[in-house]
Amino acid sequence: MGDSKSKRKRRPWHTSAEDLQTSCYVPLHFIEKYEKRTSHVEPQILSAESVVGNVKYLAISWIPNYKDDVEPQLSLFDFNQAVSEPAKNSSRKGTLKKLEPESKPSALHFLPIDSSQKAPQICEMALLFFLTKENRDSLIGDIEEEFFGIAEKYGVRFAKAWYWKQTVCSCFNAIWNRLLVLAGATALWKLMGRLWPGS
Amino acid sequence: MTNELGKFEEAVLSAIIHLGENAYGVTIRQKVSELTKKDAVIGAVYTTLSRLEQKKMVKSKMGEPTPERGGRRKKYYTITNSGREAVIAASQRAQRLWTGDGLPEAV
Repeated sequence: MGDSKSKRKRRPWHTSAEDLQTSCYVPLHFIEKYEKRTSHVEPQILSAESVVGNVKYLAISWIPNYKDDVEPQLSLFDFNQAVSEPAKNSSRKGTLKKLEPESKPSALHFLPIDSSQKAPQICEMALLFFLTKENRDSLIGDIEEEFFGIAEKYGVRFAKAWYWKQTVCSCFNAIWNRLLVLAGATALWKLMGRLWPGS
Repeated sequence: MTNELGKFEEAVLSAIIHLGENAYGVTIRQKVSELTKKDAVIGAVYTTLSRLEQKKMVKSKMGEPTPERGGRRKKYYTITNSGREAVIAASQRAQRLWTGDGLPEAV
């Protein structure tokens, strides 16, 4: 168990984590859903995590209940939806589960993340600048999601190269589309100038 | 407005049909790459999706933000009836070309 715990790595999207020493209540259905999906039990609070975009999550560690050599899992729950103590006569009380902080928090859990595992910031800025408002957020989210998957599979260098390729091609595509619209508008303006009498 | 589809639009619509409820940027891009056997660029996929949305062939709705995406929301796409009709019409057109229907008989 100790060995498998030491293998645990921090996910690359976390920017900071604070050790949480108090118990928290989370909805029972969240716990049951996770237990049903995996063979992990004994959820314990690990920390409160801030991810990119300043969304704070409650990091919950899960201990596997079958083999010792299986790594503990980590799940994230929206920190704002976690309750520190439900009211005594609250109707929600039966639907909540109390989670205790991990008995022996390991320093390994709170290692600062390796900055080389972050997605290239300059690419994100370029995408924010060139893309249209309606798609930019979901598109950057999509690239980021795939980036971490590729980084885990093929390594960070390959993932960064992939990220750059997607950025350059997406920006070029956006510029090209705007040029086409501009060319169309100019042509229409010229045509109207010819057709409009006295202009 | 004409319902003629470009090759990439056809691929994107087919990907959405294949993926069902799980059709969002990442899965659509991967499916399009698989169908066309070329690495599709996410920007091109979104440009096409916007165009198809203007043509009312697809509908989009925002999903929940997730930590893997840096707290950003997913944009889920579903195909509309006119989109489905356009894909069927395109596949029938391709079929006619292969079967030679409407072409003069070979001498």
